[in-house]
Amino acid sequence: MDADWEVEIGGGAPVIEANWQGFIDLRANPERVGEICEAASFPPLTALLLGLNGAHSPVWTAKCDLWEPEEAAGSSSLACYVDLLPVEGMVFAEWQQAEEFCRDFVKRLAQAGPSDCSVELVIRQAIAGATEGFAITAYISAAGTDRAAAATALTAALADFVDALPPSMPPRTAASKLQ
Amino acid sequence: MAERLSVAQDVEGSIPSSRPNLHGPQQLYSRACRVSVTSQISENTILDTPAGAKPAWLNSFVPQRGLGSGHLQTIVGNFLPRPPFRHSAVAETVLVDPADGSSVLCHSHWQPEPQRAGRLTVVQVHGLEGSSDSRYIQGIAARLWAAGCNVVCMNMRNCNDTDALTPTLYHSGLSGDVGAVVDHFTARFGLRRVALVGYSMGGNLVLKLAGEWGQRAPLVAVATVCPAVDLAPGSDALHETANRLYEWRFLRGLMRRFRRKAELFPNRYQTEGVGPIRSLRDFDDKIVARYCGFRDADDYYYRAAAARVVDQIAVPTLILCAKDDPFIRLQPNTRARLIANPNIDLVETQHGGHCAYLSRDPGNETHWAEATVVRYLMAVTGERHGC
Repeated sequence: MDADWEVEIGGGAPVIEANWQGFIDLRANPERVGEICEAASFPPLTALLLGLNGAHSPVWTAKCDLWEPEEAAGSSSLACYVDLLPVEGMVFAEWQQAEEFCRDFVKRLAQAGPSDCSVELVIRQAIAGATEGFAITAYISAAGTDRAAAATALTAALADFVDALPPSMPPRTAASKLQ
Repeated sequence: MAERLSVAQDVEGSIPSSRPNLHGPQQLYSRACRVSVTSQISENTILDTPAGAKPAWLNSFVPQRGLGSGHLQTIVGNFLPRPPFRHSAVAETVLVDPADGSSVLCHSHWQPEPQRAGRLTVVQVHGLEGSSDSRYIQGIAARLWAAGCNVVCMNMRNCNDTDALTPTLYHSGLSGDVGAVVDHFTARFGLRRVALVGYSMGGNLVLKLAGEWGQRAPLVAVATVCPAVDLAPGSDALHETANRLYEWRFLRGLMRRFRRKAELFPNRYQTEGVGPIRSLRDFDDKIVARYCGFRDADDYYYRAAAARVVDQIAVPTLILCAKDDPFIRLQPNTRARLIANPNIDLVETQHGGHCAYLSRDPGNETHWAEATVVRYLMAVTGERHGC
């Protein structure tokens, strides 16, 4: 799988607001996933969200979307994004911790087998309630000869994405622990 | 509407007045009743049955709020947190095929002596790529144990990391394995009454065995949830675009297992030359048929399907299935044969997804299928110990 990561902080870059108005806590209420219309329209996204918010997952999710990017004639693609936040601490306290997580995740995704899809992890500033720090927006996209083929490829990519998730978060640095 | 009417026509006039008497004078449930439940179930109305014929073991199923679609039920059913069944099980391997030395792993919960032999023993069989650890297996085990039953949670060949216990693959035709497990524990403990429970692929296996065994003791009852009794339509339905999520997950697990088998038994299995496997039918055609003695996928689907033998089932049998199950397809002629058999109670709900049945009712009824299966077994066998 083609995977990479980058940082978008400051200069008008988007900030992830985890507890936004439409936020549904799928860790506490997985059965409410049906209220997320983007997921309801694409069952593999439902499975992704529940997998990411599962009991043994190191992350939780705040927001997602699904769309069809414009493609050249003869091909089709399907993409989604999901905001990822660490279970411990609600947000990454320091961006280096998020970076270490991304590096590990990208390495695991690259080993997830051949697939017509790509993953891009973007580290952003984040706010979860009164806590400020950093979080990650994961963009996952897949292509195919038609929409059905693209949907099949994205289905596989989302399953691989959950499987490749690092089992735990990198430890915070000594400096951040003192804060 | 047309389908509902046709079911009603099939059912009318076919309600038998009695069941075969398998349990002696203490039998609590003696009337068979074919039930086709429609969306009206949410109003506590069961259509297609005479007024007052709703059996006591059948409560209304109303899907959990927000989970009205079959996909959502199916997916959420796999993730909804639930307390684990903490009673420790006895692990034991059971030889199921002396010819090739195949064994299966069973996790059992035995009531104490001297009651053990007289208690109802329930052998449970999981679905494709499941195991004795599957949530629904554990859920029913907890209920049956509380009701005073012995419970055997059987793993199909290779499942639950038991690839080394058999040189073969596993498939939907291995009903003999379930029979061998029943025979093993019956001989060992002198069991007098055994019931079978199966989900999905496991449902096909136990129905197939029930058809093959007829009234053979100690089998007294069967209960299934979303059984894959028509294998070919179910396999093809998995390849529909909306179902690729499930097919992908099944295929990934099956291919991992096949590669593991090839590592363990390199003289028996070759991974090279198999070609791309893009569907479950592909897998069944190129791997199951090749290594398990079938001509091709269609031959496998025909010979392994319980649909061929359901008219020979001679003990009380429950079949629960949902009309919005994403990939289980009950063919009209199979449905007709199920309805024609007075021993079979067919309950078709409008909602429930595949083996999920997450109900709006709280507590023990949240997992409606599990509650219904246990109530059914208690009713038709007269078992009441722990209730």
